[in-house]
Amino acid sequence: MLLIARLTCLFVMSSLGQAYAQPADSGLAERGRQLTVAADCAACHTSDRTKPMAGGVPIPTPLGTIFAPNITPDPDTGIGSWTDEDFYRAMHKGVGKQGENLYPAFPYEAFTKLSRSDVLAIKAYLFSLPAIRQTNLPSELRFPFDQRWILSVWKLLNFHEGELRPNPGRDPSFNRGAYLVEALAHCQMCHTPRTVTMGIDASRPFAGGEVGPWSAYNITSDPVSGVGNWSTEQLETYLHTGHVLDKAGAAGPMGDAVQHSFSALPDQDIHDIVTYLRSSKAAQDADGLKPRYAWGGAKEDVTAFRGSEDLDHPDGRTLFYGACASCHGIDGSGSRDHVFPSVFHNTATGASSISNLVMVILNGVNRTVSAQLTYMPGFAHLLSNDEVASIANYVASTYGNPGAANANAANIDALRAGRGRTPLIAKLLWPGITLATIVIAWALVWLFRVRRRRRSEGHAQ
Amino acid sequence: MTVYDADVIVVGSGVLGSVAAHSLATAGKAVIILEAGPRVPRWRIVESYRNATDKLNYNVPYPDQPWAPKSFAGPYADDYLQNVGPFAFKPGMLRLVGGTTWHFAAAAWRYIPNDFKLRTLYGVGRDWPIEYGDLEPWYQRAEEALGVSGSDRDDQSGQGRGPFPQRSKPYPMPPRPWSYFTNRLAERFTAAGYHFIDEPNATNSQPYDGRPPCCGNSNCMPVCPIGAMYSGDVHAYKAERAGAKLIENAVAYKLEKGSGGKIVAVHYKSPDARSTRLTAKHFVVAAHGIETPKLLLMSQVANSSDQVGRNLMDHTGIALDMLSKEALWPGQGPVQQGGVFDRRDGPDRQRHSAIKHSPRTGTANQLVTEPLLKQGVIGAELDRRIRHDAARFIEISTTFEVLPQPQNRVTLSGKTDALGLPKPQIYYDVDAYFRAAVTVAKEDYKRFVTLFDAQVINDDTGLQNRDHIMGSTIMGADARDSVVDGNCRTYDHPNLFLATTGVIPASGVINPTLTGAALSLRAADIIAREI
Amino acid sequence: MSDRSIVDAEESMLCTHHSRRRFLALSAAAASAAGLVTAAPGIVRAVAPASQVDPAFVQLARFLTGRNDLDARIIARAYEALVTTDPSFAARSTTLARAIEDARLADVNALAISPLYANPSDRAVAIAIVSAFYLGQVGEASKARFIAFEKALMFEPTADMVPIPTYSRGGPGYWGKVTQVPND
Repeated sequence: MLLIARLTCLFVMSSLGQAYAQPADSGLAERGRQLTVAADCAACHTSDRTKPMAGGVPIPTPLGTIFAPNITPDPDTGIGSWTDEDFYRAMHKGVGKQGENLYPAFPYEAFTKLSRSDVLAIKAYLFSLPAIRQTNLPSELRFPFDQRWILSVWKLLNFHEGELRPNPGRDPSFNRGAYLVEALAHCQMCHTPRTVTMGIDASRPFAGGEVGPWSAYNITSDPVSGVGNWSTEQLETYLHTGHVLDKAGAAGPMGDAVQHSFSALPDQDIHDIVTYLRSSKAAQDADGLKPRYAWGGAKEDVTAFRGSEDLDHPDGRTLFYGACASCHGIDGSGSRDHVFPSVFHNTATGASSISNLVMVILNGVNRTVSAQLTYMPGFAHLLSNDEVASIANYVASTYGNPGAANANAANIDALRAGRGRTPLIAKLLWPGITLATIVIAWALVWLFRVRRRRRSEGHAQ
Repeated sequence: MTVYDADVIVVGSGVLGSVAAHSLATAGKAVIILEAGPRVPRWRIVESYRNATDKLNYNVPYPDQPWAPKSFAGPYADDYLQNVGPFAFKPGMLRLVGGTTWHFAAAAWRYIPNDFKLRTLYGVGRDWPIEYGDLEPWYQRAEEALGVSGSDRDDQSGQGRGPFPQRSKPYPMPPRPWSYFTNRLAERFTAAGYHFIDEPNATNSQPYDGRPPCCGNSNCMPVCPIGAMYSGDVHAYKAERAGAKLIENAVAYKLEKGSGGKIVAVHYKSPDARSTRLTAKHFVVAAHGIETPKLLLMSQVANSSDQVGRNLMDHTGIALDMLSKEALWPGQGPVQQGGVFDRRDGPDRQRHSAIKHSPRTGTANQLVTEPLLKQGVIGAELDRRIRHDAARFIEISTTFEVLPQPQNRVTLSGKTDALGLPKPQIYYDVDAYFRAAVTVAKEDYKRFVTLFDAQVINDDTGLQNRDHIMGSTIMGADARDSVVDGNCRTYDHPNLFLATTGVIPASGVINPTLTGAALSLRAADIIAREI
Repeated sequence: MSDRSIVDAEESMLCTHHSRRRFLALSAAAASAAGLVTAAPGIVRAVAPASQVDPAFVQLARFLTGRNDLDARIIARAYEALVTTDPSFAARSTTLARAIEDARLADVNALAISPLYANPSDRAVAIAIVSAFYLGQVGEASKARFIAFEKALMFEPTADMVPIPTYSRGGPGYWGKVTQVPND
């Protein structure tokens, strides 16, 4: 309690830019630890729980795979030789120790908003961890995206440096929530759409985005497209536990975020986050007919096919019964104790994008919160792409949003590999470069001819 | 330099062949697995079961192919095993990728040290040529490979002492919880002086190896709908992902001998009877306890001892069905949870078989409704009686130790199957050692009936198959009376190993799959060093 | 009056026989149209559409199972399986239905204790019909004709305590938390 009070006080004070007494070192490291939980650094920087912060997690981006580095205090393979300035520059400006631009998969678009004292607290915590020798894996980005100078252009277009200032017209809960959401939990990195230059689209905060193959839903206050119809208690429960009965269960990156970050935050922090989120402006999805959680109901007609199935040519229904209904119920309502959720009134099947449903079928769900296990096995090895698409479409049509039932076996390989859609800029890049080269070449040739003509004309006179 | 099709060819993709293949593939060896039957996904088995009429016949939902008949429940299967003895020896046997563990109930016992010394200690049967300690590290590895949940505290010899047998590490997973039914049975048995212990089981009690924990679908046999229970397809496909080549619908019919007593090739037939020859440095036959001796006999290999096919054993058993006075509600949780192990070992084994009593905890609706209908119960009384009887149904499944008798054997019959290969012929009968134990077990039954204040439904089932094939390619210290040595290497062919529970020389009274997997992994280690 | 009622009775009997014959012809045609027996176990054969099942059988099925909400398709399957398995079934089923009506039995429980139930043929028909709906099949083992699995009535009396095989009743380990059971 005292620590929370102190933490809150420090947040408020630091965001007001006032000087304050530095707490003792162990206090600083503990504050740093709490900040790293809120920021979920481990999600990217810890691939092996016995080697915290030693890096190695592959982060699939639309432009290739990036491996998060070792941020233990090892001097050779980690950040042991980094000064406070080096560390602040990385978090605040997205620049590494050698002056190189850092890829924004490292969310410095959010961390730039942290106060300096918080950044140094995080550094103090990291430096209190065991130094682990583990060489960083090189990232696998396609040319030209592996050229770091390109990021200068990206930063020019998209990056807005600066610590977050509190809004004096708002109450402390809102401001604390703003800091938690914008500077620490970096929700917008996933939940806000990107512009064509792959920056955060500030005009549509929280209106929904993509994290590789996963869909990070619209969480604005819109009652249909967002979470406007959820009660405060439900939103808080979701962050605390990852599950709200008859609405949603967190999976994929959000499941991890709940398990390792949100569920470990104090109640007040969760409350502040929800306060802030509720204040976001409502953004409507183009195809929002009903809230994601409101689709479908218990339904079965086993008698229509029981005893007469064509198992040589199974349809989505047969596959659903054979592979899914054992846990999710004859009528889709899950188990009596709700440990196995219903597949209706479930945002994964009610969303207008079917990608999360496909991802859950492929990879399952595995989260443990407060010693409660939520587990669904992945079927990637057990089902073909056609079968996965069939099942997803059957579930969406029967228990979820029929408009989403457009899973295609052809797209599923990309989802298996953890890749989402390729952004337009990446698709257009090579054609664009080719076109630019041709234009430039043509322009040079034209220029050259013009100058030759002029010279020859000049000589002739 | 000779070019081989593979480093190792494994015949059979059941659990024993597949764990060996996987072990060798991950050790960097080039492996081919030949499987007589097809690949079938789990969803299809589950729906086949739900669509079937003969639900208590566990072979039914599985494929029956003319080129690879299963052991019963199909047009090709029903006339496949030719029994010429007094007992209809028809164990469940399947022919598909993953083999017969698709429909076991995953009991994963280790033999105890005394089981390895039957002759020395009790003057009957044979000793193993190896000891418990020799196999223990591979028991551990087999438990970790399959994913076994069990109690680290039980005396599995059934004597109620400290944890036994000795383990190098704890079980990979804690035991599955006991249902109310099992708890009440354990209480009553214990109060009457019996030792009721948990059954270690290759079913997940927590997520393991990408597979879910058991959620009590009450259908371990004939198929776990969610894959919480281990089955051989797990390692067949893991081996394939590790680089092994898995060829389905490939019926091995001849092991070809070469110089120096080595096996040089295996020939297999496809469903269209086309033959293919494949060469390898080493061969592992893991074709189950009936098909393995059949292949050796057809090929005329590994039989200088004349023991191939002989000493056939199963844990032949009997059962007791009764209705307890008190409502116990079987059907919650997995189908096998524990057993009465008092007669697992001890001086009585000089005179009669060891005995294991194991209650079945599956749902009992069909089992109680059929007799009620035969009695003409209808209406509200029928609903009431179904509920009443299903809540009280206790089936005690009893298995007996069996001794190796050379006249109990698998041979080649004069009949042929669709590929022109001889169908197996079986002669099997039980002996006095066995029958003496049946008398003892029936005395136990009388006590059990009293213990549960029960009404007997059937205490005279007659002898039953238990699907645990042993002895048919027997292991021993002496090449003159054994097919394989303590490493499962055939005496006659240095590069031919047998991965089958058919090598087991002393049956004990517990399910042999885990032991077979341990032996198979141990043999794979030896093979890996030799290639 | 009595003349008239005899004529009526005769006419109605003729109608019943006529419709029964028509139904049998239809179902025989349907059965042969479905082709030869398949090797795969339990495949449901094509049956006459539910609307063409003799309404008297529908009523009898509801009476004997004590359930008014039986699925018409399951009733049709049961009927087809029963008449195919036993050529005398149709006639004996009509006899039973009529006897129940004549005895003015209120429900199946009354039948169970009535002298009617001592009549071997009536008893056998009643049990055959009840069995079809409770077990979900007609006949034994691999020779049986499939009718239903999840909807087999034998699972209903225990639905609060145990799962239908292959389906779950709760999450992992749910059974370990059950400390008390009903004793009925």
